[in-house]
Amino acid sequence: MRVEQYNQVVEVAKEIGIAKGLYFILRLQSRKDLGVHINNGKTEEISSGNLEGMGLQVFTPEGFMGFAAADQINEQVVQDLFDKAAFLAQQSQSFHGEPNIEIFKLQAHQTRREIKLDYPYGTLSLMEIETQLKELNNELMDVDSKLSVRTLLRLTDEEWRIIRSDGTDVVFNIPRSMLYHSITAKSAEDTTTTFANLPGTDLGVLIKKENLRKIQERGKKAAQLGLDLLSAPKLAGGHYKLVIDYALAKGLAHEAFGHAAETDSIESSILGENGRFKTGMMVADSNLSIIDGPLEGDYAYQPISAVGEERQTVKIVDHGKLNAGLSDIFSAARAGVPYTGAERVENFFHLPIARMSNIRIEMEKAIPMNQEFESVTPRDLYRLLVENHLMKADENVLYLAGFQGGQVNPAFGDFVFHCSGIYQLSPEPVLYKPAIFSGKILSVLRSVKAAIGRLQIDAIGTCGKMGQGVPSCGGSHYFLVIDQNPEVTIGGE
Amino acid sequence: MELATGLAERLNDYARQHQELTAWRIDLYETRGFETGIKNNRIGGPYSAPGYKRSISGEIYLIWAGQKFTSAKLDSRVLDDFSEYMDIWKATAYYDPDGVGLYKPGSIPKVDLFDESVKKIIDHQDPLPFRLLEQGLQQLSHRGIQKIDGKVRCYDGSRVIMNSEGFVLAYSQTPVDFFFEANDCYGESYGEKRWPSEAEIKRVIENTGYIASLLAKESVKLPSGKIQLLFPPGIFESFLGQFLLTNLYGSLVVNRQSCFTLSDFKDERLVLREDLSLEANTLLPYRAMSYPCTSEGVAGGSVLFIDKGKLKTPILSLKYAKKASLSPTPMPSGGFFLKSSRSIDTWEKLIKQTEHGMIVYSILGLHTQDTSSGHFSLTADQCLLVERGEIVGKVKAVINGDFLKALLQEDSRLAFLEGEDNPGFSFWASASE
Repeated sequence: MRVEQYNQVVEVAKEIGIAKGLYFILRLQSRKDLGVHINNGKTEEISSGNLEGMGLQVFTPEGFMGFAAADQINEQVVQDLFDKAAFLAQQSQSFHGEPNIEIFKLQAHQTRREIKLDYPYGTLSLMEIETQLKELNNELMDVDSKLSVRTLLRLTDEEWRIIRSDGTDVVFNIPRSMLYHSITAKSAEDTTTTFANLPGTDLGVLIKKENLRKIQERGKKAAQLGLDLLSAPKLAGGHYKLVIDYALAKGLAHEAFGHAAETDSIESSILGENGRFKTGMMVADSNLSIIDGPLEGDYAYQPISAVGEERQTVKIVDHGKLNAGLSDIFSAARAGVPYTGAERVENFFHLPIARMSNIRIEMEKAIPMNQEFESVTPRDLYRLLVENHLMKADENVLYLAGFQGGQVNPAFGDFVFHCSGIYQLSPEPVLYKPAIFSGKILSVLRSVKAAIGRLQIDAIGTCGKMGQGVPSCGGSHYFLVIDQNPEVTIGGE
Repeated sequence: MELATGLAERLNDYARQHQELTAWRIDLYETRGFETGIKNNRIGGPYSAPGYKRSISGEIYLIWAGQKFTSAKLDSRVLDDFSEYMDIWKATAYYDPDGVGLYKPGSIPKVDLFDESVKKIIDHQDPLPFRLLEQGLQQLSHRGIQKIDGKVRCYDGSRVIMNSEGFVLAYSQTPVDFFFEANDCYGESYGEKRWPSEAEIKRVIENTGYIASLLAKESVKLPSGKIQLLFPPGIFESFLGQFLLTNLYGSLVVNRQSCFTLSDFKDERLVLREDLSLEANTLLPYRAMSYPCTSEGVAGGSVLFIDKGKLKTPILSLKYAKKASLSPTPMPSGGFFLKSSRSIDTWEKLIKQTEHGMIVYSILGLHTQDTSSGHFSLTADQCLLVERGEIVGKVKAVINGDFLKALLQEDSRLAFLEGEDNPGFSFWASASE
C-alpha cells in the first residue's frame, strides 16, 4: 500500500521520540477520491482529489498532550511537527491541562489489513461510468416530467498507517463507494426532495447486476414517493404506534443509543452515572440487542482504531440489557468499561474520538418475509402486520419510510430523526408529509415489540461529532414495530 | 505564492507543448495555525489537546479543446508529482456543452482581512489562546456553570488565484473563531478574521452564562397548539440558511431542484414580506464572510438577492450565470443580512409584547429537513416559555410550520439585538410536548 513507502519518516519519528523522551502516535493517511456528478441527464462535473499527510500526537511522561499535523510526509516535516507538538504538550502542562496516561498501557503489535478490490477504478473507463450513470439518471427522469434528478458516484481509496513509539506499526485500507440519487418533484404549489442510495467498496455498485437492480428499484421508489408527497396532507402530531424501516432503525440505534454509549462523553451522557457507564440497566425487550462493529466491505468499515488497536465488535445492548460502551483508550477505564478500540478520525488533521462504525438492531424471533426489501409496499406491510396479529385491521398505525438524518443530545437524552414520508397503514394506505420522530433514549427501546424480515444493514450516512465527519452505516431487520409511547412523538400540526 | 508560481509555469509549459489545453485557472490556499479546547472543564485533554496544523489546498480548473473541462482539488504534492497529476486531470476531463471559459474581471476590490497580531500568536507560539480559554473557564465557573466546553482556533493563511491570461490575485487573511458552551445546553461563538477585542470576548462569555442560567429554570408544561416562536438571531440565521439561501443557488434553480424557478426571478416573484431584503457583502473588513474575489475570478462585493420581498437574482457561478443569461454574483460565504425597511423593536420589547410564546435556543435535526419544501418539523430542545411578556420556565417541544410562508406573514415580527448581523424573528407555528 502507498503508506508503506514512508519507513524513513517512521524511523526519524522514533529517533526523535527516544531523544526527547516522549511517547507518540504517528498517523499517516493517503486518500484518493473521484466523484462523477450527473444532473438531469448531463455531466455536471467529474472531480478528483488527493489527500496525504500526517498527524503526530505526543505525550509527556506525565500524560500531557500536544498535536501537530501537516499535509506533507517527509523527514523534515516530521521533525518540525515533533518540535511543535512537544512544545504544545509542555504548554498544556503549564496551563493545567488534563493529563491521561492510559495510552502507555497498550501493548505493541504489527498488523496489516488490506482489502483487495474486485472492481477497482479502471474496471470501467470513465466514459463507461458516465454513460451508465446517465442511463440511471434518465430512467428516473422518464418516470414523470415533474422530476429532476441529480446522480452521484463517489469512489474513495483510503489507506492508513499508525505507528506508536512502543513499536506498534499497523497498516490498513478502508475503500468505499457510493451511488446516490437526489430526486426533486415539483408542482405549481409544492416542491419535495427524496433520496436513494447504495453503498459499496468499489465500482461494483455500478457493475454487479444485483446492485444495479437495487439502485434502480430504490430510485423508482423514492421518485414515486416524491411525486406522491406533492399532494400529501400534513399529519396531526402526537404519539402513535409505529413501524419503521431498517434505515430509520439505523437512525434509532445510532442517534438514540450509539452516541450516548460513546464513553468520551460519558460524564454528561444519560447512559452514565457519576462518570461510569450504567452497565446492567434494562433498556429494552429481552429479545433486542444493539451491536456495533466493523464489517469488511461495509461503507463505514474501520478494522483498526485511530490509535492503532483492533476495533472490537461490541454488544452495546445485549438481550435488553445495557452491556458495553463504545470506548476509546482515554476514557474506557474512567467509564468503567472494557476498552473496545472505538477511536476514529475524519483525517490526519484530527484527534481521535470514540465513534460508531456499523450499528444495527437485532431481534430474536423476527417474523420472516419472503420478499426483497425494495419490493415491499405499504399495502404488503399492512397485510403482514394484520396476519401476524401485530396490528388490528382498523388500528391507527403509521409506517415511517426513508431516513433523512438525525441528531441527539446525549446529556439530556433527547434524540430526533427525520423520515422521507409517513403512511397510515390500511388496505389503502394514506401518505402524509414527513415529520420528525423524536423521543427519549431511555424509553424508546422498551417500546420496540417486533421485527420483520431479514437483517438489512446498508443504511449509510455521514456522522458529525466535534467537528469531524466520518462515514456511518447500519440497519436492522426490514421493519421494527414500536408500540405507542408518550415519550415518542411524531411531529405534525 | 512560490507553489502557485511554480504550478503556473508548469501549466504554461504543458499548454505550449499540448495545444489541447487551452486555458487554466488555479486557486491555492496555504494555511497554518493553532487550536486548543476545553472539554468537560479541562483545557487541553485527550479530545481538545493543543494542536498546530498546516496545509496547502485548492482547486484547479482546466479548459481543453472540444469543450472539455477538468475540475480537481490541489494539494502540496502537485509540483513534485506534476506529470502524474496532469495525466489524471487529462483522463478525468469531461465534456460539458454548458461549461465556461475564463472570466475577465474588472478591478478587484481591496478588503482588510489580515491581522498582524494573529500572525504573531502563531509565529511566536503565544499562549493568548490558552488565556482566552482560561478566562472563559473562570468566569463561567464563577457564574455557577457546572460543565464548560469550548474551543479556540486561529489561522494565518495566504490565497493565490491565477489564470492563464495573466490574472494574479494574492492576499493574506487571519481567521479566528472561538466558542463556549455551558451545561450541554447553550453556547455562543465568535468568528472573524482578526483577534477579538476584550469586549467581544466578554460578550460571548457573559451571554453564554446568562442564557444557560435561564435554561436552568424549572421545566413547565407546554400547552399544545398555536404559539409564537421567538428565534434569536443565531437560530433565525440557521433557518434562513437552510430554507431560503439554499433555494437561491443557481444550480438548483436552473435544474428545477429549488422551490424557486428561473421565471420567479425574471418575474420578480414576491417571496418575502415587502419590507424585507436579503443581501450579502463580501467586502466588510475583517469579517469571516469577506473575500475580494471568488475562485472563478468574480469580484467580491455587495449583492441584493431579494429586494423589498422580490427575487432579484439567484446565486450564480459562471456556468449558471451563462445558463440563466444573467451576470455572475459573489458567493455568500458564511454570512448574509436580512434587513427590514420598517423600524423594529428591541428583542427585550418583543418578549414583553409576547402573549404566548417560546424562545428557541436550540434545535435538533435542522439539517434533516427538506430544504426545497419550506416545511419544518423539528424538536426544539432548549426553550423558554413566555406568557404575558414574562419568561415562566423551561420547555421542550416538537415544532411544526412553514418557514418560507412565515417570512411573508404580516404578523411575523423582527427584533433588534445589539452586536448581531441579523435580527431575531418571531412567527406563529404549532408546538406540542
